[in-house]
Amino acid sequence: MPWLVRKIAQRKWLNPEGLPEDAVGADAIRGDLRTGHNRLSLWTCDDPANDAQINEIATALGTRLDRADPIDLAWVASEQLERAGIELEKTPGDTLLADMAEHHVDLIRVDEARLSVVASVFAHAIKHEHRYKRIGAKKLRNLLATAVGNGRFSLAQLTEKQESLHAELSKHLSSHIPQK
Amino acid sequence: MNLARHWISSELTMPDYEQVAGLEHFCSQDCSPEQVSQIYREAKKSVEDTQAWEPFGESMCTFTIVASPPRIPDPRPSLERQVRCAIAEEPVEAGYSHPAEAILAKAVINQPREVIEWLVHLLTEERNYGLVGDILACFGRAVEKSPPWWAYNIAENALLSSSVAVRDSAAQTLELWGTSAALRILKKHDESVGWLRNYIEEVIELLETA
Repeated sequence: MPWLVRKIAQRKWLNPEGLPEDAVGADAIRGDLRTGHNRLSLWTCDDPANDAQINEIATALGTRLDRADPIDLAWVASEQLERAGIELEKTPGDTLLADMAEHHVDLIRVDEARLSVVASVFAHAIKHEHRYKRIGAKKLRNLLATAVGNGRFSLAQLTEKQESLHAELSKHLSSHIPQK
Repeated sequence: MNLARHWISSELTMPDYEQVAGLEHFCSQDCSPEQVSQIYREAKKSVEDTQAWEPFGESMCTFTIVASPPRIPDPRPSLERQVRCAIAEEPVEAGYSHPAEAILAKAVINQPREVIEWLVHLLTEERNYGLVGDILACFGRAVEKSPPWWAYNIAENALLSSSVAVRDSAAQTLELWGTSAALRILKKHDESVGWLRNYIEEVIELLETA
């Protein structure tokens, strides 16, 4: 698993409000690197620069969203984090795509110092290596609808909270024939 | 710095709320008293000459007037407080619904005038640009199914913001609406930040082929 992918908000990293462009804003850390139980959830990918692969991550993530908004994804090399002493644990990803659940890890035992390292690594990857991609709302809807069309998940699996996504996909599916 | 504030609707003869609101709330910016007078004359003439407004007509795009004072007691603090509290409690995140959307959706129906005033005020006065971007995103979602014409004016003005956060939020909102009016606004915009320009170009391409 050479690359680790995380959903972010590009603007928080590329143009931190009120800070120099090379700074890592607190909003980026607080908002985009939110931990739970001192773990940080990341998706794994062999080649995120490959559109098909990053789209797969977007689709996996998208199945758990409430609505199909534009989403930003950023990626870093796993070895960069491992070199800094950050531990990774393979865990199932929260997605309705059964074949994608295994493409997921948690960074574990994340403390303040480690989180700061993770933030620096992501900031460098985003600002200096352009390792990020925005998946527009329409594109995300297309990806999700195609996944439904290909039987990878069904609208019935969406929760009540995902009512908006359900409606968007239903509308999309009724007006498009998803590509196989 | 001269911030132009001018109240014109009371002198206009058009009773229709939206037509008048279009003049009052379209946008605001720094301008001289002479410019305000000129804008006022143009606005008045436009209303007198035009029986039916073109919501996105060029003439409207040049108005530079902010309504003041409101005709009814201003409930802005209440709406503002509710939205600000909701955002303070829960961050606005792409892909996740936010409680502020419901507050704004209700306000758009019950007190559209105040929503417009408040959003214009935010775009011109508020310096916490991250917050403005978040509020704009929630507003965009709140009216997603059927954006009122004035919402496009708000989004268009947001695209002129000096803040990338606000412009990004406006661009995302316009993609969300995905209408021909949204496309027109995006095509008119000249974005200076590379990644945002790329995104806008992608959206334009997608909307043109839709």
